[in-house]
Amino acid sequence: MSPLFHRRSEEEKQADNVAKLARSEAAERSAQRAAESLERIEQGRIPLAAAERMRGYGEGASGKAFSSDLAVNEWSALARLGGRPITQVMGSSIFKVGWQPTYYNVPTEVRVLSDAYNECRRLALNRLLEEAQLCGADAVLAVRIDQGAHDWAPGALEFIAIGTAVRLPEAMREPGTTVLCDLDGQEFVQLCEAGLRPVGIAAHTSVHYVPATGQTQMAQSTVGGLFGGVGGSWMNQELMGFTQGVYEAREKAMAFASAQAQQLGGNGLIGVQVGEHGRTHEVRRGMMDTRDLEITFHVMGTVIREDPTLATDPAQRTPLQVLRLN
Amino acid sequence: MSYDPTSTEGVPEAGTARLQQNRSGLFTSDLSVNEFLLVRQAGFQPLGLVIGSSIYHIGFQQAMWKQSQEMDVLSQAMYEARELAMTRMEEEAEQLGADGVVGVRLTIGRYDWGENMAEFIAMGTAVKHRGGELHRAPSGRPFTSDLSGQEFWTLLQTGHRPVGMVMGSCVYHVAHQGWRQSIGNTGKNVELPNFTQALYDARELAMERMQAEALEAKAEGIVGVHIEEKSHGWGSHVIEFFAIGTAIIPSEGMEDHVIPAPSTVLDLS
Repeated sequence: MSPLFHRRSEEEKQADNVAKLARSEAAERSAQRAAESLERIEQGRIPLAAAERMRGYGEGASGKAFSSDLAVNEWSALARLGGRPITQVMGSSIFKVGWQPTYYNVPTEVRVLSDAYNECRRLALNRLLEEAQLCGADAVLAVRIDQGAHDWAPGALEFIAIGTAVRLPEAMREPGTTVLCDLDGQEFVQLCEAGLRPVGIAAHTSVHYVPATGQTQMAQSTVGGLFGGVGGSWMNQELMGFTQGVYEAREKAMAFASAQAQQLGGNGLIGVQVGEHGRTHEVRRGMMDTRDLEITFHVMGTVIREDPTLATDPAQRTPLQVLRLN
Repeated sequence: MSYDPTSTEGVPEAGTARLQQNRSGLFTSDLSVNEFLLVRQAGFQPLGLVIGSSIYHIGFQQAMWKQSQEMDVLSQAMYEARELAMTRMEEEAEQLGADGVVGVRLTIGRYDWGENMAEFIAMGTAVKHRGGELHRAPSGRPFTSDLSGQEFWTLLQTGHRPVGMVMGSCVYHVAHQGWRQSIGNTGKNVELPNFTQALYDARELAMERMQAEALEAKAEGIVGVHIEEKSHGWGSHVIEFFAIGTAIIPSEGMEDHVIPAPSTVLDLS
């Protein structure tokens, strides 16, 4: 019979109602979950789905297969010491940058930008850490921090931190904490065997605005060169204002990273990478068009601490010199 | 300008503050894990990342169209700006009480924010010998070396040590061919003697200057020399030859040192 002329029985109607109710309950539940996830994000935490996935790996979840982006060599270096990967963990944050003045007349740190970079990275790393703690990790290896950009969110920053959460053997654990570390498995193992314990990541960004000084303006303009004679653009000269400004920005970023390292109880910061990019602002000052500089420094490194208890036989640590025959 | 090895006048205030932090027990370094472990193995303790930089405005010089010549204003600029960066880096190392600086990288950044403008950066890790053996150069300056941690370790095994990076630079204008020559060469296999000679001269000048620096440092030799040929935006026919390497001397008391024979391996992969 055609369903068009079918008169539904009471049972069918009831079944329909039950299904409808279940659907609306499910919709309500997912709306609730979405709201709860959003609330957690606002608190700087990870969304529900992530937390649930991580708990699946946590205490009592034995026998679960691990997932890891460690290469086979890394994995074997770790496995030799009794470490075991748990799962890949990540943390990310998309951050909108606030308004900033278009130019400054004295060298200034652009706090809006510096703070945005630092806060965004802190949020991403904290979420990575929360995931790692939920799955019961002792350390996260091979953490890399990428910067993302989307054309549907102009002017926004994104940091994505990804790494592999691992269980470490008893001797290598740092009691009570989960260690973040941007080293690969081999490097981690090598440091431990040399009696050095990786204790975390230190990173900082500073953005500085450096206006062109009188000397810089003279050097920038051809007119200054032709009529100014000495000090003009034909002469070799150091641009003192820019040099000083760039120094300050770099030193500040490095000093903050070092302070973080000290806070983590480290006595060294290795593998430091200093990234730099500059851009110009065309500014009209009085009669002169000047080009000012805005410079950004990103500094990141691995914090280590001397821990002689980790060291293996020092005689083994002497490298063997080899000559490759191929 | 005579160099005072204890001077730290080129280091700005912000740098001084950071180095103070390093002196209080925390070291920083851009060495990789393997390099760091080897430097330690060689008996050195890293003290801190040291940097020297200079943003420099390169002046202007007009070259004669038909004449091969050194552009001395430009040569001088490239020299002076690198010296400024290197000296500031050495001064930071001095402030940390270092014996020397390893893994130095000397880079030139060109930005879209300024034609005729370049940033010269020298960056490396200041180290000190744990046993307190003085490893400075004979001049009292901290030694500098652009060798990697692995190369540094190997060099020390050979009974030598670095005294300093030496460099030579020459910016040269290569004369344009005359029309008579261009036409005369049409369709023929010929050497272009004026071009060959110009590039030859420029390269020799750069290398000679580098060697002069090494002689002044009383070095036994220079290892790891790179010769680069680059145009820093001066248009065609103007190029810089830049030679840089690490000057070495025999370590004290190791003059008759025998270099251990390496084991040979055949990698089957």
